[in-house]
Formats: sequence, C-alpha cells, structure tokens
Amino acid sequence: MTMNLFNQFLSPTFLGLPLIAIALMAPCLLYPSPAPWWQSNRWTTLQNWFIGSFIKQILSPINTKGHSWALLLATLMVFLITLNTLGLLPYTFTPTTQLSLNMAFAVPLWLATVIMGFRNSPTHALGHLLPEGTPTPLVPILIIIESISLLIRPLALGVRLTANLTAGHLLIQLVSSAAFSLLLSQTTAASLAVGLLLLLTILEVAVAMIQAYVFVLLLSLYLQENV
Amino acid sequence: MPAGSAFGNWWSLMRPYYTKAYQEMWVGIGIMTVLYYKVSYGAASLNKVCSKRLTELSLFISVRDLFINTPKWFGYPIFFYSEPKLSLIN
Repeated sequence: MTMNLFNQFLSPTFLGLPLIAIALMAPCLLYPSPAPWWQSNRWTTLQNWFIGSFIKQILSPINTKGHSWALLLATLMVFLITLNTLGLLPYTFTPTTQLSLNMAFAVPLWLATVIMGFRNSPTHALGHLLPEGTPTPLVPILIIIESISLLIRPLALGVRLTANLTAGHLLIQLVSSAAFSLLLSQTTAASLAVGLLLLLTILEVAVAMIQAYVFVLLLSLYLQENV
Repeated sequence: MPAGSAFGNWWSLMRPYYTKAYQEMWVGIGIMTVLYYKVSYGAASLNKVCSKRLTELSLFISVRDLFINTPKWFGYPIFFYSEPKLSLIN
C-alpha cells in the first residue's frame, strides 16, 4: 500500500527518457506571447494586468537596485503557480513535488541574494547576523543562531513547497481511494468521502497558489535585506 | 534561418540580465549542478578509476546507493529517476 501511494510522485520516464522536461515546458505553452501592436486582446490584457499588479506589490518595499529582479520574480511566480495548479488535474505529474526541482530554485536564488549583499555592502550584510539591542552576553550565541537561520533558508524554501504539495496530493489520493472502494458497499460513507474530497480539492487549489506566492514573497524579502 | 534569428532576438533582450543583473545566480547554479552530478553519478564514475574502498566511501556521496540493501517495503525516495542499482560493483 505504501508503494502505491508514492508511485504518483515518481518522475515519469518513457523508454528511459525523462518526461519531466516536457512537464516543465507546459507553462510556456499555455500563456500568450506579448503582441507587437499597441492594444492586445482581453486575455493578454488580463495577463499583463495580473503580472503588473503582482510586480508592483512585490517590488514596492525593495529599492531600485533590486528592481532588476522583476522579470525573474514574475516568471517564477507564473511558472510555479501554473505547475502547481496543472498538477491538480487527474493523471498529471506535478514537477514541484520533486525536492530536486525546488532545491534547484531555492539554493541559487537564495545564494544570489546573499552574494549580492556581501558584494554591495558587506558590513550591512554581516550586520544582519546580530539584531539591534542584543545584550552583550547573548551576542556570541545569537550570531550562531542567526547564521544557522540564514543557512537553513534555502532548505526551508525548497522543503516547504515540496511538502505542502506532496501532502496535498497524498491526501487527495487517500480520500479518493477510500471513496472509490466504499462506493458500492457503503454508499453513505462514500458520499461523505466525496464531499470531503471536494473540500480538499478546493483547499489544494488555494494551497497551490499560496505556496507559489509564499516562495516568491520570501525570495523578495531576502532580496530586500541584501539590496 | 528562423531558429538562428529567434535565438539572436532572445539573446539581445536577455543579455543584460544574464551577464549583469544575475551574475550571482551562476555561482549557485554551478554548485547545484556539481551536487546533482555527485548524487546521481558519483559512485558510478569513481568505481571506474578508484579502488574498491574509495568506491564504497563514495556511496555516502551517492544517496541513491544508500538504499540498495533497504527492503522494498521501506519505499523509494521520490527524487530517484530510476531503480537503485542492485550491486555495488557494476
């Protein structure tokens, strides 16, 4: 039973070729490209409005130096939200349930913010390791604690996204298996399970969008600290 | 050629990002590439050039090979691309 539950997270391959590459290209195929003319159609206008509002909201606390990250943060948000929500469709594979993918996003982006901080203003970046107003006896231990919290950030970023999506998909599979197996023998219990499945699916759609937003928001906060 | 001009158009737009704005990103990308290589292929490549003892040591680098002797009921980690190897020596 344990094997069957986790089979949905195995990276799909076909004749030895990893299909995750095709899964990762899916968001690129779904969105219209910007048109060369002045006024676009409704769908493109809506897309542009969403990206513009999101970027204004994310970049408002960051100073001008960090605005070069606007393209990256917008792309990352759209990419993650699309991968997460597409994965909720039946029989689809969610690449963001793979820890390798999420760590590949988290580590380079977090490390880039740290290196930017040390490169532009090393004193200011080191100052983040000691909060203001710390009593003198606590200084050594607090520096160690802050350093550990700094180093754990990419791990937390990657694992948060992986765990949230994996847990959601696992719950959906458990409840749907229960509903399916009880369908003929105990119809009332099966209908309750279907009701629970509906609520769970709505929750998972929300979690998919929120987790993508949280990932990008935390990255923008790390950028704000170091720019 | 359409493919060549498409790449040229894309590069002319993205060049300032990849060369100036995201310089610090390449460090992390390089580190992750090396780590993924070590985890996926570390033991296999060391097996060819090093002694058996060093190869066994490299098993600690290759996460995949740690699960060779694990019973199947334990379950497979979700980030494996293929089944773990069944023997230490290829």
